[in-house]
Amino acid sequence: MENILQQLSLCIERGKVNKVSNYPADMKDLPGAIELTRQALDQGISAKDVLNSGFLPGMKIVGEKFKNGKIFLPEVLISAKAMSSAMELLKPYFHSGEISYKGKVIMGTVSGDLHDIGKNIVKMVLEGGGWQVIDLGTNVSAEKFINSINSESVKVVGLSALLTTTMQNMKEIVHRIKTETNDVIVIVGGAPLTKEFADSINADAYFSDPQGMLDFLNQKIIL
Amino acid sequence: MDSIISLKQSILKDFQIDYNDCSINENKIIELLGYNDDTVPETVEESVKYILNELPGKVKLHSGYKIFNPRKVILDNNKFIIDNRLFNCGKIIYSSLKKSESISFLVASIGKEIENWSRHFMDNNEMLKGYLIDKIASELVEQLADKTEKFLEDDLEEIELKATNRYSPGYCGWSVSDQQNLFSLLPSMFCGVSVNSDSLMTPIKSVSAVIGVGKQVEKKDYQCSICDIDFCYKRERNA
Ligand code: B12
Repeated sequence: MENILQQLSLCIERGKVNKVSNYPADMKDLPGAIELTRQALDQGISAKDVLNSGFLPGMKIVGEKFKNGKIFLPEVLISAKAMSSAMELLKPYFHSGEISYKGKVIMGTVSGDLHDIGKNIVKMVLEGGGWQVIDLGTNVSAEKFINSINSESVKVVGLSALLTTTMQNMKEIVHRIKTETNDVIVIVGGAPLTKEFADSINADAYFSDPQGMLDFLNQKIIL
Repeated sequence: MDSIISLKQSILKDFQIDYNDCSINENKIIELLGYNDDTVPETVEESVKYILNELPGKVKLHSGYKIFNPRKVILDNNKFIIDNRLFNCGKIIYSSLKKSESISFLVASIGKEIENWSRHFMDNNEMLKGYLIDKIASELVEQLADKTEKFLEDDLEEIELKATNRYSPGYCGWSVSDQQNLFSLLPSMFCGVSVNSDSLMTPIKSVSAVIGVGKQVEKKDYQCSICDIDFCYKRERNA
């Protein structure tokens, strides 16, 4: 069991999706994340073990390598693809309740702003870390955040902005989330933001990168 | 004085540029991603190749500039005014513009389709391609702006005028909200670009800038050393 989960973890780390994928060259013709996940489940290894001892350790190593400058964003995305491809096989177990996400997070780019690449990367990193992300897209109003918080019973929201102008729209959104919902943690990010700005609008936290938010969620949030 | 006479009225030009006149180089992209020839993962290299191959069919390179009639332009006290519209460009940019006889605006955009193309990959578990398209598109629009800047300089040279560096609202301490005034002095949808009430341009891959024009002005190495904005990337691009 150990062995197959370790192999799975390595496939995620290296971004080996399935047997036919030629990347990485030194793993050519070997089974990939998809085959190993299927094999593990067939062998009776629980979905929980596949997730916690196969997928997540792989992505954790990727996150650390990225943080230490050993790899760049493209490699994180390659690993994320391997993980999400294999994750499809675990979907039924999420539905049945046999396994669950660490928690649910709402992400959106604030009103007036249409820049979504940064937010998409945050989403992907959080998913890779075992969190479920509800992506509200771009140009998201306070109203829409609040409706989604209520309908999805979510306790953590991440807001993104590209410009100093649209960043100002975060102020009203944070204020309304704080006054119209209970105990929701608001995390902000995006190129022009600073910790000082985040503090000034009463956001609970600011991170310059997705890994910072993931570490924060993993350490601080128990849902 | 000759130059002012030859710039009696505003000049407006726009260009539809062929992709081949403004292409981007694979190695440059690899380098921008943080790699070199030896370290780039094959799949990244292949994806970049694929994207660069398809790119010409996905972009519409549209750019232009407007040089204002010098009589409409006033430069004073870290600000400039054109046609009664005030631009608070701040100390850093003003110091470069102050000897200008006139001001020009530049707009460059590569169109909207590229956004859908990137999103299509993002939505289909191809984050790498989605991200690379976004990155390449940003580089392309900067190159288009460089090319347009060159057109402007060439045109100015004919009337014996020179240009300053180009400065964009949102850089060097100049507020992005001055985009409102900038676009109000250009024809509507100039180069296919519009600006919303939060000063964001659509299509996203668009750039706007101001360039000072005159006999006495000069283009310098970008003046990062006198600016203290630490989240600015020009510092890296010009390093
Ligand atoms: C590439 C780029 C462009 C490209 C593409 C822009 C785009 N949106 O696609 C082009 C050349 C078109 C461009 C144009 C402009 N740009 Co520009 N651009 C950048 C640059 C260099 C990188 C942005 C980017 O795509 N990064 C890559 C993505 C992946 O990163 P990201 O979105 O920041 O997200 C990461 C983090 O911020 C974080 N994150 C993001 N959201 C969240 C949310 C949470 C909750 C958390 C925890 C983390 C998080 O995680 C992400 C992944 O690491 C930045 C400077 C910089 N170094 O960031 C300037 C920058 C964003 N631009 C800036 C400006 C001013 C402009 C223009 C207004 C200039 C002009 N007048 O033409 C225009 C506006 C364009 C428009 N449509 O209106 C300013 C914005 C600040 C300001 N003054 O408002 C910046 C910060 C540059 C600066 N002055 O230092 N730009």
